Amino acid sequence: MKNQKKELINDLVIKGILPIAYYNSEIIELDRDGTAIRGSKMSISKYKQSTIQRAAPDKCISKIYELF
Amino acid sequence: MNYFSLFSSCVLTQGFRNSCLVDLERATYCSIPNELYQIIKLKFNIALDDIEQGFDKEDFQVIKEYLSFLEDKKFIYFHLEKQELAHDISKDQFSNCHKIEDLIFDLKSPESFYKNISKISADIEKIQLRYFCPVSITELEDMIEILRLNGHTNVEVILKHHSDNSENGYIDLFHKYKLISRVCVMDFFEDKFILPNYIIALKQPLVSHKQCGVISEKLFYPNLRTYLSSKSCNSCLSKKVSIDVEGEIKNCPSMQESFGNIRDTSLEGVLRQQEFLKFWNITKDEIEVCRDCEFRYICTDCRAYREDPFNDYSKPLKCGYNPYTNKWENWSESPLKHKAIHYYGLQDFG
Repeated sequence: MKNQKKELINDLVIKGILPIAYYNSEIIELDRDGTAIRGSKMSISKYKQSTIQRAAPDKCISKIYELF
Repeated sequence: MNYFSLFSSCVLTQGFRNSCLVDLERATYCSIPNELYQIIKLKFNIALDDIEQGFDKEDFQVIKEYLSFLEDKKFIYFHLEKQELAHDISKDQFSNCHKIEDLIFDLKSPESFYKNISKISADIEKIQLRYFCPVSITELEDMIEILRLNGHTNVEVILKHHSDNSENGYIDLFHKYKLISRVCVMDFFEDKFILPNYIIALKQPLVSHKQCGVISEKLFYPNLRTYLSSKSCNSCLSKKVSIDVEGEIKNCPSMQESFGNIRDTSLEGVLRQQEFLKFWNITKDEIEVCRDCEFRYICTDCRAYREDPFNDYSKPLKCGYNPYTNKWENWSESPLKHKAIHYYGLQDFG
């Protein structure tokens, strides 16, 4: 069921109806020579972490060091 | 009439002798005498005329100097008419969607990382990797890549410096992976910020988990998250899970009690054990001495090393602050702590 939903979304993305929004879903990547590659977005380097923001170090998790 | 109000991001905490005024937005704070706390505790629309009537001329002059200092430091502002009450953020509640907020993963070699990483789910807000061995940038990158592929988005690294690593190597790795929120390189040649606020290098050696638990003003986090969570739960152990160098799952690697080994126990299973949760809700307001400390909502706690090892509510052993005198002293030199220092075997970690 989950895979079917993914398929459906991917097809909509390919048709240009939906923007690429599903970070973990498989997408179609067009190579420079026009070859279509189907793969996980996470494994294609240009998409790596494109959607996350760096977290602020806002918390002291362990007090194993002392700042100068 | 002249009025003054605290900026809405400012909160007050009363201690035994002093109080602490914190601006949670600017992450800055100052200590004020409790007499001044009594005057400004209403926070909003405080009339200067009312204060003047309650004090003699000399005292009022001193109060005005204090207020001028607070205005200068941007904790308060003056206004001519009463203003609509601002939202009081000190009454807000902190909530977080993650079942586990922090996971401390202690490692004595990269192999122990590979052996156990598949057992750690991605639904953890932040992973802190603590390598008690020198790790090269290449080894580190391989491990960070696995965390990225597993869907983790917030990783903090503490490691022993490897002689092959360069400062630029650490910077390149940090820029390459947005999931790295902070790197602390220990056993380095000098104390310095390789990248301010993000990559910190320290001469201090990384030897053992027994180094942990130091309460220091330099490790205060005067922000909204720390403030609100400290009021409602334990500021060190709440929603925290740790895996020590032997794979034992504990509240904190410095604690004795294990709730199973990661090779045959799931983290979810540990979270179902009531005993594992017993420290999560101990607030600073319940801890001896801390409950009288003006810094109690911006520092962190330590339940692993306590002044009285047999009392769950005892003051953190490695805190050298005395809220009854407002003085910081070296915790390891206090004669009152020697018994506990020997009990925990911390003689070499002062």
